[in-house]
Amino acid sequence: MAALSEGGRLTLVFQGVSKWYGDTVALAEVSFELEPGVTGLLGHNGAGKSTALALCAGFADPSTGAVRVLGLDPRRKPEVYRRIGIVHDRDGLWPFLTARELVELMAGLREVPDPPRAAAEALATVGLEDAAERRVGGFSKGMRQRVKLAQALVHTPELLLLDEPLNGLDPVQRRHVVELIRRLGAEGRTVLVSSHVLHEVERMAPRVVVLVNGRLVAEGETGAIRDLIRDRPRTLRIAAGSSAQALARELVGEGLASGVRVDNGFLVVETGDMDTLGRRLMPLARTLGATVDRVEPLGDDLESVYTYLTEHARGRGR
Amino acid sequence: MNRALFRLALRRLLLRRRSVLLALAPLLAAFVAVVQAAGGTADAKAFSSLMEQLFLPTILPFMALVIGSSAIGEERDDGTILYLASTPLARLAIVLPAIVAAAFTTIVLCLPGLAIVIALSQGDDFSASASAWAIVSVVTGACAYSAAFGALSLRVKRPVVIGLIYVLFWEGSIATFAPSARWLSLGAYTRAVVAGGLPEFTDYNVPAIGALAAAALLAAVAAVATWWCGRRLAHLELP
Repeated sequence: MAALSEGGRLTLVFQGVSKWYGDTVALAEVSFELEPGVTGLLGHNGAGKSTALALCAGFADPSTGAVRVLGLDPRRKPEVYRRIGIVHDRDGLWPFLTARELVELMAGLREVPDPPRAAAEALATVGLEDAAERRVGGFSKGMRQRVKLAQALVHTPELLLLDEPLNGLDPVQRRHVVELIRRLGAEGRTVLVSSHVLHEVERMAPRVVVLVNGRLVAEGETGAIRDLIRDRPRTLRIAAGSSAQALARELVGEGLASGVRVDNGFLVVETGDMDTLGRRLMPLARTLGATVDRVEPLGDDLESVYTYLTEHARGRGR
Repeated sequence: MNRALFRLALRRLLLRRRSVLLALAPLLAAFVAVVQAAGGTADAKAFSSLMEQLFLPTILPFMALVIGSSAIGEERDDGTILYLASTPLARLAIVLPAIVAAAFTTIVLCLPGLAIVIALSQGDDFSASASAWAIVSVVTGACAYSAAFGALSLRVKRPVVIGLIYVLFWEGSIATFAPSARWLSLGAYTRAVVAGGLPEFTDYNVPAIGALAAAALLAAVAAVATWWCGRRLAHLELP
């Protein structure tokens, strides 16, 4: 782990951080470091993403451990906010301000030399220049999200902390914001973007940190995490009628299934090699004269994926 | 003081329907003054009674409670405080404009009613000195109450309820019969200030302190409560 001082390329250091509220543990011994570029903070709802971002933003004190942003403790040194842009997950904005007034206000408070010009540029960056003179109280969720992004960008920060920035955006806006986040990373800014959707993170972040129930369970290149998830043991339910038992024997005999059982007339198959099973299932069934009516994955929801990652992390002794 | 934040807080406090309703409260005292004037009972004693039994113990703290507790508390409740907190400003520089705006709003909304009370309730006994002390009591009282209730909003989840309990049970009840409790009552000091102009008519639970000293004490409460708000915001965990 790097020293907690500003040095090298490290923008953010999260060192052995735990956070609890009464008896509830929100984060447990989480450590990671960020360098310039985009990093995804992935986890299901309640995994601790927002708590982690609040700690990074200096809105809360860690119960144990330390957070350093650009070498400083944001709780003690508010001057660091000249260099940080934050998009909160909360929706509150001053409804009586126009988009221009709001972004200009934030530019002024962050001591930007020319707030009107900076605000105009930030609003154009998020595609809101035409709505600049409208009050944000009348904005849709997507427009509010873009105003929040504009105020986070207006002072050209080195570090951006974005909590679910794609929430409420339509597909066109999502594509635009994803492109923007990628561009910010390519420009050398450090972006930490939280989401509970892997493929969303995958589109903008080459690196990912995965939290499950407040614990860091995976960290690394997004592609490697995706492969880990893809290659995890899977369970399928196959409707094969009266041929279920014969098909089960063949699947085990061919080494395509690590476990098989018959449940309510359905064949429930566990496999560690989904691709091969997918290729070989129908030819085998034809050979046996069996009819396969339906094949469906079980436990393929996000919760199961995260549970698998947790178990995988425990297996590594994390 | 940060003028942009002051303007923001003023717009937030004034540009809402609630402000119009609040502005009606001082008109209740104005209505009593009109009745006094019409009935020929307006004099120095009537003015003193109206200020010390209605305007200062009820109307002023009620308005300052609603406005002062919303100045910072609502920013926290709706999440807009997160935007202010993510600026390089000292935390005191964030709360000061909000509290000044709350006090200013309270004073502005009280002024029409107060002006009518001053103009009509004294009748032929009109005194510039009594009028000036009445204005000073409202101004210093608004500052102290706004800061105190602003601080309360950063400490408890239901500042209006706690504030009402303080105003009704402490200031309005206990401090009226327990002389030592008056020393811990902001309302008692506002009455002590107004008594500076009409000492001969004042016997409404006023602590034994001069008007100037009472005004200074109210200003000191406002300053300490504002400082505490800044400190509290620096240590507060934001949602």
